[in-house]
Amino acid sequence: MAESVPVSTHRRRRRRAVAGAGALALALVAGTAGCSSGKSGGSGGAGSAGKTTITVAGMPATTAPKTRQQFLDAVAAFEKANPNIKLKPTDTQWDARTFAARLAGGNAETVLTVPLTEPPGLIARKQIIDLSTEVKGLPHSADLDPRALAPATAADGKVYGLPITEYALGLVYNRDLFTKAGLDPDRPPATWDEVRAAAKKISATGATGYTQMTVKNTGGWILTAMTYAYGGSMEKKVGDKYAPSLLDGPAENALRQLAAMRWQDDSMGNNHLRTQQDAERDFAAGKIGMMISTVNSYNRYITQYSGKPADFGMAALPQQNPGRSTLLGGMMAVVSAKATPAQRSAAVKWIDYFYLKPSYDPAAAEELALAQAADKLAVGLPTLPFYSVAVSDPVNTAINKHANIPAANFAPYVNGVGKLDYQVEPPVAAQELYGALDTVVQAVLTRKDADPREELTKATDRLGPAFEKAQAP
Amino acid sequence: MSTGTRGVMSEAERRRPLTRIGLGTTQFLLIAALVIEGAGPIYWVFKGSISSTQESLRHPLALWPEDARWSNISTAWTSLDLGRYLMNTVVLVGGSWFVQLFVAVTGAYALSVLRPFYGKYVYAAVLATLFLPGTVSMVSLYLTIQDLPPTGTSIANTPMAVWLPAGAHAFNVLLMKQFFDGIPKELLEAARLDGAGPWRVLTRIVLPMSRPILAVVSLLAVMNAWKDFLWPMIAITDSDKQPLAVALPRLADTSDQSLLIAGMLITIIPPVVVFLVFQRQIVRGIAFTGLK
Amino acid sequence: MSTPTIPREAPPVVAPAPAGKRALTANRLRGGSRHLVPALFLLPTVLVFGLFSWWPIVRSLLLSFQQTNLVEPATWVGFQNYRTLLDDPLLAKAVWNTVVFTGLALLIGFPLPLFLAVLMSELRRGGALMRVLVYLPVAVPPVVAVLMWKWFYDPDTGLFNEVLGTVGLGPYPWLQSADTAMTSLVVEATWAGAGGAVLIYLAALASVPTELYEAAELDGASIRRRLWHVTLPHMRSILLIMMLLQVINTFQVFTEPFVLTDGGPEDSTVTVLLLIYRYAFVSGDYGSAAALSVSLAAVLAVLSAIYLRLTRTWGTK
Repeated sequence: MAESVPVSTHRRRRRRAVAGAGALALALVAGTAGCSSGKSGGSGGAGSAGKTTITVAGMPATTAPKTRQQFLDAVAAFEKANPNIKLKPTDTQWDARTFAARLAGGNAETVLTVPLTEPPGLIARKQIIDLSTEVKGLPHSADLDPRALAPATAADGKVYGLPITEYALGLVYNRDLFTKAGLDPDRPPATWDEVRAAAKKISATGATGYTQMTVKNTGGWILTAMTYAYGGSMEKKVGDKYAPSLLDGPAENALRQLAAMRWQDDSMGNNHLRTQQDAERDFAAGKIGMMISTVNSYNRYITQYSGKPADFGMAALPQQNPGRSTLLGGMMAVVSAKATPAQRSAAVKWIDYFYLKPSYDPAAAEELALAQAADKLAVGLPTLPFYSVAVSDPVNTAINKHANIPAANFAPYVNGVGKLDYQVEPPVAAQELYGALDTVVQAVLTRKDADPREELTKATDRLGPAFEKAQAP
Repeated sequence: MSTGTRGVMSEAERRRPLTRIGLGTTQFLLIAALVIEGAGPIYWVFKGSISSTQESLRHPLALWPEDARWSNISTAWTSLDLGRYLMNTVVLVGGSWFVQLFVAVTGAYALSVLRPFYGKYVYAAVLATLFLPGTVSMVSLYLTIQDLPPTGTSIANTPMAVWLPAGAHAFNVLLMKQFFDGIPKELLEAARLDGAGPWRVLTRIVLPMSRPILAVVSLLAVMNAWKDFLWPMIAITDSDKQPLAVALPRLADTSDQSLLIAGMLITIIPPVVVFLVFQRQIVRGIAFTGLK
Repeated sequence: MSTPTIPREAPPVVAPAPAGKRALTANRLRGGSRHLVPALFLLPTVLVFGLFSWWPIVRSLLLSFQQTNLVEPATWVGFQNYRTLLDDPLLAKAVWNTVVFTGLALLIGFPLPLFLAVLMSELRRGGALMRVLVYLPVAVPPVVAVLMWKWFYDPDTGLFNEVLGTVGLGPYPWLQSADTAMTSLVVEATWAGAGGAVLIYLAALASVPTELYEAAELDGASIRRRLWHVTLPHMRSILLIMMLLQVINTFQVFTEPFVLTDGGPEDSTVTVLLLIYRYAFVSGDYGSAAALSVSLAAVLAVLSAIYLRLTRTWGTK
């Protein structure tokens, strides 16, 4: 049974406040909508006869023909329902490295789909635009889970993006290797001490017990998840500015655990320059017992790396006292800062129609699930619902009719993740922070005498200028 | 002075029995070492591309796979979409070659034969770029292809983004101009007196005489364009428009080893064949230009 | 000293232009088009160099004093980008790594081709075969070479540890340790680049005048002394040029660390160009990337100037 991630109770407290604000905003948006369509003859994407043209990223590649067709059908249906809006879909993948320049050259799409790591930086550099007003005018906006919006919510409460898919990071493990090592695949490690013990047993069979990604900023990303699981944080507010909080203890404890696994148990293999891709490939090939990864890595596991579905196991992120948190991952839709007001409102309409509707409208959800199943993509993955239970339960029921994943293998994840808090990426200079932490993780894994505290101190010193620059007035 | 008829050792020394044995042994060892060093890795790629991943891992030193899988190469071709990347590469290399040759020939011809009064300033400005390797203006070149003056259009993500900057290769202009400078002036003058226009002088006299330098510049242009990695990676961001050299590192992280090695083999073959066929010209070109 | 030259073909016989056209063309040349035609021929050069060489250089300079998110107009920030660089502890590391790479490449990659070339020139047989073999690695595209070596260096299944293991050595960490990663990169780069240098040295060795060796022989100089006192002095200028060229190239090393180690482990292979790439394309800080580019350019310009000066004096000698 692939139930969606249960929503913990504390979100209910916020709901009322959001609902109130939503009702107020609805009234406001009713006024501005007419206003903006009147202005659509202005600059940018306005075509002839008052038509607003926007480009939208996120079209699936030709390698997934069914979901691509489903995307194109949705574009056509949307244009029919909104005769004033013309959509130009692109299948350009998000690429942080080229985005700014494409934006400057006027080549960036109006609607962009970005990983959760990106919105804080994009907001700080003023490259995406505030959507608060438009969002409040959307159907069921009162039921939107603030946690789902959090990754693109600025410190002042403005909303810059809407969720496409979100999930909590967890422990991915090979059930077959667990069995071979004499471990129970239905009882995966729940603490990091259990991870260490399991890794030791798995490595005795010749496979790598546990693997940590270390390069291209993934080292920092995964260490951040671990630090949350150890009850810590990566950044803290000091006065009115954020500063790195690497030396609080939890990050150091996480690193000491890794060092013990690496140097005392030798259960982490020999390759310590790992990208996410090569770790996932080797995991699918049955060479790796455990690693921290995302729910939708399962899609790549079956489509790209031809892994065996039965061997894929997933558990909630193991915790170490006093931790009870995990890191949120996924994709969001954001709107380019170059968008005119008319384009902005058209963009949000499209995001609602294509990305949000399948999360609140059971019929749309089922249609999407069918297309994904036909493309042999995973259906029924335990992702974070964007709406309150009343809205999302019927949707999940509709999706699960077509679920094609080994649901029992995800049960440990589903059961465990509900007890955890979801934390977002570090809000300031996340990529610089992750880069500096890559170095720290590499040091601990490649040099026996590396001292975690000393390495974290070096990283903190190195981050000083980046934090200053990112928060300059 | 005579050169090249002998090396450090004299004929008398070569005839000494000990030296002869020493030379023979050295010869054998050196060729063996060079075979391992030069041909070995390429053979390893060949062998790896027709072995299963498991076999490559189990018997890395075997000379021939127990179970040769020629189908690996066609599987790699289709599943890694290598045909597309190869085509992209050919398009990028062909265009870069043409632009380089076109710019070098027209520019050198104007500077060497037509000699406008401002020519020496243009030439100086071209040569000045020799001081600054392209990689150091990579970032601003990237911004430039995004909003090309004067209209601000973007050629990023199109073959143009690789072709046109390839033309700004001062060394080609220098080589070409030096060669054109050596063409006897009387010949050009005679043609001009016969009423041949500048275009005719170029196509009927200068170019036919310049075949050797055209060959050298062409070969260097093609080899360099085939090898280029950093700039195409920056300039072409769409994965299905990228050349092999840019696609391979990305595929390396995600593909099965034997398929990746088959992809490497396909990338190696064209430049190696070009080298083996044109080795005399290339060797001469290298010695001539003093460049790798 | 004779430089190897390219043989020229005999000039083809020029077919006389048709009589009718002749006067016309001559007229056109004498008229206003006397300035127009050269300008037309120079146009591609000026356009291509202007847009893709001169303007980016000027733009780098400007950009290094600006801050831009590429959406709003750029703002002038004076030397702030340069200060950002100096504040970044990674800069010193990157500069040091680049210098180490260059130094190691000289240490390993400089004498080896010379040694090979001398050996090859003394051996009478198999010259063509040896030249092909020695140059083959250069024909392999660098990215493939790097990926190949990635498999050779693999800590679990790599060829090197496998081979060394059969004689009881290792396993060595190669790329997996800050102590050995840089050397491993240099070994790969040397393999990939040495062939070109060997061919150039071979050409230079062939140009040593026979008389010099004979004179030295009459003086009773041993083979070693002849190498030291005749061959090497004769090659001094080409050796110097090759050294500079190698330094200029290795200062811009990028593909090896980018593909093999991404600058790791522990930043031990972060090079200056990799840092520029990260500033621009990972952090979106184009200003600092430009400032570092300009600084690298200044160093390279000095080296290139020396190189060009040497080639000129060498060429005219």
